[in-house]
Amino acid sequence: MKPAKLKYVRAETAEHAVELLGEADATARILAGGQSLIPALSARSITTSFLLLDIMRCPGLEDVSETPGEITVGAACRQSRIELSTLVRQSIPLLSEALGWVAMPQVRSRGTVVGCLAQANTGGEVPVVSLALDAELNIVSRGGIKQRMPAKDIYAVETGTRLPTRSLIVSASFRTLAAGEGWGFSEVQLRAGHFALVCCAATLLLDENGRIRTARIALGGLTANPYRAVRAEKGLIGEAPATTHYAAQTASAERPWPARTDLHATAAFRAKVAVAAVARALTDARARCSKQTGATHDSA
Amino acid sequence: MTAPDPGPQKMVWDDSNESRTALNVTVNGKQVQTLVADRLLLSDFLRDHLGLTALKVACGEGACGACTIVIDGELARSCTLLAVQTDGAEILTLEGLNAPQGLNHVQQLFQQHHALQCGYCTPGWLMSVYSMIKRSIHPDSAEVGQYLSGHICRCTGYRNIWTAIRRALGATNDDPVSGKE
Repeated sequence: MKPAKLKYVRAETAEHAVELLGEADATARILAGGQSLIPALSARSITTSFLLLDIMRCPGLEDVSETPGEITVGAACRQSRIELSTLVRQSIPLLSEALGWVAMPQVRSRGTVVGCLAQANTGGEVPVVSLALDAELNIVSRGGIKQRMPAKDIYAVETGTRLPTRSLIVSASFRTLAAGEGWGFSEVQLRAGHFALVCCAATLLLDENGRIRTARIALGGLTANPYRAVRAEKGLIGEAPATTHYAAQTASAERPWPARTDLHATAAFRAKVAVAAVARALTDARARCSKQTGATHDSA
Repeated sequence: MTAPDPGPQKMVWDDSNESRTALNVTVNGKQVQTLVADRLLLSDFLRDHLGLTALKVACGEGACGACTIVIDGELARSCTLLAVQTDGAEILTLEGLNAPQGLNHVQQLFQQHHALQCGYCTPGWLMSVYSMIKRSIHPDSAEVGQYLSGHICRCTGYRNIWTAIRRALGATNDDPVSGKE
């Protein structure tokens, strides 16, 4: 029995969980799939006696819903279910692909998609995808106050997140890909199933002349939190999709925070790997693009 | 191996201030109703309380796969779950797959292909193979590599394990493929 003493409570509803969270002291935590939290408890990285609020049985949190332009994934949806969902594979294959890089099948069966977003582990794939897909998190706070926060605001800090305290992410809404929009996800891992040394999610949409209309590039692992490579994206607009190497260089260089050095890689090495990862994701995105209606010739 | 009578056992580290929760689970087809400490890991519950010691605890953080079991038809690490999280679940451990006598088919393949040496990681592999067979995963699909990545073996290298698994999935040759479809 490795975790320190704790109290486990099954929340009845999302609102109930938030109320309990509000009444408890700051050591209370939401427990979803627990694939990051339980190991942290076992390692005693978290040692204070506290309250775990299990949200997996709250009604509605297992739902996956589709509205025009977006798919909303409930907080109790496990990664493997979303990875293999036909709806997700068709509408946001980028998310499905990225989930295939999250840990191993034996862990994805328990871990949740929204848990990845809340946990925001460095090198985690889902936060990176959430940036490329302009995801918005649906959050409930005490008193039933609901808010919708863009993922880009949540990860706009060097470490940690800007998630409001004592609140619960009930679901995350990912935009579906536009018609003809190409996507790519690339990752460099030290060993299959590990967190990314570096990973990149990219999407490209071409105009009727086969030039890039919109580009999205999100990079993770290089810095503690993922970021959108906005300058690289802007530089691509109006360009032929073949000219992506400069964008890959820019995407790595424009990091808003210092590149990470750890046991596995220096900052300089990570920055180089990031260039390759972006180039690969953009190449895949380009290959999956189809021209908008009215296009006559693909300059790529 | 048969499990001793399930029920709450007094453990040396038990403490009267411990918060406990009722737990009802089906383990290898048998109903278990008990009260467990909230912080008790599922792996420790199965091993120490139910005597189901086929699963092994090694890394304790979900990385190595030695504690892999099946919960409600899905593979899971038993060391990264609290026992109380699985209330109402149907749990299958290797004991539930054992042949009445001798080795079951997959165990025989592991033996035949020298897919184990010390055997510590083997119960976990066998659970993953069980799940792969249930899902009719093709022996040459890239998914095989994904499942393999969920287990660490420090003795054999993985080639023999791969061969045994491919055989278990219906392959008719021993050549491991590159992992690419």
